[in-house]
Amino acid sequence: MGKKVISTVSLAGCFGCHMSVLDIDLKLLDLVELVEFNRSPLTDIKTFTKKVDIGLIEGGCCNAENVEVLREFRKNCDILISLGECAVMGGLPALRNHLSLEECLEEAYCNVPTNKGNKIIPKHEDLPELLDRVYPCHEVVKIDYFLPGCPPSGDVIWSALAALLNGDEPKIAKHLIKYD
Amino acid sequence: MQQAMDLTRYKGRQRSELIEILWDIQKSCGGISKQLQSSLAEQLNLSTSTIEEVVTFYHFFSEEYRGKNQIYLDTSIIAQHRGMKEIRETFEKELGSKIGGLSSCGTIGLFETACIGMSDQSPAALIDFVPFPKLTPKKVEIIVKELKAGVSAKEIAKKFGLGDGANASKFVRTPVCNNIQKKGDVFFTKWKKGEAVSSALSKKPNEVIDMITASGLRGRGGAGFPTGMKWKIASELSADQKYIVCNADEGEPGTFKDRLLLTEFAGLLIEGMKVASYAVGADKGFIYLRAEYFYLRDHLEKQIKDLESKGLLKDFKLKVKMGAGAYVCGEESALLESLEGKRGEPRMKPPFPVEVGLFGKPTIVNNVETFVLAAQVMRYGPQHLNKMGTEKSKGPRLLSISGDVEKPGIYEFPWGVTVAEVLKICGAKNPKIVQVGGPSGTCISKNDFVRQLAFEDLPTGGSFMVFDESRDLFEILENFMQFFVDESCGNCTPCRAGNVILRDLLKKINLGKARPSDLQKMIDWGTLVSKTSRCGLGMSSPNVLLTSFKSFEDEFKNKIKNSDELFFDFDEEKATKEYREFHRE
Repeated sequence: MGKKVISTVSLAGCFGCHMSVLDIDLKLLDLVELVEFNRSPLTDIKTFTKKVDIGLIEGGCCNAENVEVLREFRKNCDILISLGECAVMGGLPALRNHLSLEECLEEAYCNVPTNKGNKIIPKHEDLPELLDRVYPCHEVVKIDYFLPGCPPSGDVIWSALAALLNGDEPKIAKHLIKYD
Repeated sequence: MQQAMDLTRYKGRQRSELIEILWDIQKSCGGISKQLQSSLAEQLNLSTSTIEEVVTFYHFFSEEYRGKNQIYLDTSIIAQHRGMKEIRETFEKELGSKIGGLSSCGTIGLFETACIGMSDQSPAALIDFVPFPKLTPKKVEIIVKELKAGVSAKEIAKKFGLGDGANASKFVRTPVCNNIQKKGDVFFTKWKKGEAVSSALSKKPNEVIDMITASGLRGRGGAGFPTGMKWKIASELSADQKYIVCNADEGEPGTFKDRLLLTEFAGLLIEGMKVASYAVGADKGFIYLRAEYFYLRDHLEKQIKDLESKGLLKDFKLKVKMGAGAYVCGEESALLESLEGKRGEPRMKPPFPVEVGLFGKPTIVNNVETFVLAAQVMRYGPQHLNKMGTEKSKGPRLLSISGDVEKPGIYEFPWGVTVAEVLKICGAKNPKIVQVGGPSGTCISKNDFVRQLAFEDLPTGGSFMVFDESRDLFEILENFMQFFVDESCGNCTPCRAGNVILRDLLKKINLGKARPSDLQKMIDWGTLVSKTSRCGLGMSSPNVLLTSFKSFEDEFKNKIKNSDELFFDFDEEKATKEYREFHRE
């Protein structure tokens, strides 16, 4: 049996979930025995070079590029996992959802204390178009599993991956996702 | 503009009178501004936030100015089906305003509210708390014209012709009709003033309770707790003070049978309360009347006075207290909180109100219909109730029938009647959906029309809504779930957040965007909300979704997307439109 293939990406996230992947510590050594990483910031591979078994998505969709990348992942991954609060529910970026895009951009570029008086809001064909609000991944494509947490702990990620690699349904122990 | 008001008159008044005081202010000032709140707080020696939390809890209190005249349109599904949209649009056109705002002349406010107990004469509105049933666009035009000319709502109502029975009496004077469609021989007997009370007083208190127990009477609010047992528990407790409270907060959409009882049987109701007070040893009582029935307050007070002057209420002080717009106050412990002048948030149970009730004292809380029946038991004996009904549901049941039927109105049936029999008698044509017991009750289809109305099968608090083949199930369900979202008191999370989740899932299903897993999600959330909510509101709000899913599974499944789909119809064009338009400017 060949190695399983994993891909990861950070959409509208903060890379905290990726840091948490590294937090599985010594088990990383077990993991690299079992899997290889394809498209991922960890490998710096920018496009899929083969069919992937498991895709980990960090972050929700805040712009058109996120949507495109997410669809790419859905096309190339057998199993897709929403990793962390932002992918699952939009998370912190979704705080802008009750504001208009105009208010958001003006706050970010014109009224921000470090750049007071600026009147230019960047626009370029290379810049992806922003969405009217931040969407969780499962509103765009089918997501097979959701790992909650901000970020999900290394243990949560490891237990889910280990189960999937074993061919089992991932079941997260309650104490791992109990936060209070 | 909100009026100023001198609040020194309230100095030293009790906290328990807060709701009455707030009504005073709301009515004379058109709203209770922050400034009024803080000066009232000073007079009552309470904190401003104590006032604020009460003002913001009840729908009919407002911090902002709601106008000299305030119009509230009934948003119940029955009203929607009877053309409320057109009525609303006519009001908006004539007033030059939108729902939630003031007329162009600045003095007439237009708002929406949940069912006002007029489903048999829909569409209806409350104008300065005078009910205007059977509205038409033509009537709306007249109403607005007259209001603008300074004519009072009461005067305008008279022009449309007064209703029948006590509705036309000096103390009511509204166009409301009783719509009694089917009389039985328990409720509709001639009242002989004092008969129930003197029958009770000729017996020992425990004999009275034994009679109630023997009649098999169970609470008519919906939960069906045995009345005799409740009274017995209260009678056996020793306390320096006990209370009798009548729950006249008839808030379940589609219910209006208490409206009839309060109008035509108020004397019997009061006698029933006196009987209870004698049986359990209480000397104070309250009728908690929903604000939507404000127009019946003078009538009730007159009836109390009449009985008092005949010496029938000796050693029993009875008062009418008003609600202020909150469905949850129909829950007995929330009702008691409200009577104490607080937010109507349900208490933790146990202890039950019968042990620790109003002001911490043993309290009997019974529905209007329960007290009326208790009075009839005193007059005619327990077998009068006991001889009809089923094993666990004795006596008659008043039904408020509305919707797609020929004869909407009040019906007296014995418990145990089948849905099919009821449908036949009220003249339902092509009934598709019957909602038994209001939004918090059971949604059934044709397959279940053989079932019985009874605590052992289909329990009901009296609401019976019929929808024919032309009606959209999902429109009805959305209306019901929105009602629960609006009416949740917000105290416990399962109900506050859960009902929003359920409503949104329902919307998603109705839009055709849901997936098979969403149906399971709906069931899971529904079960969670009903199992973990603090009071009856959240425990029963998912009923309608769970039962309609059972009854109309195919309709739900037809709305569901193919499960194999990996890519959802996310409309990128639409989602990026705002951005493109922003940069075009």
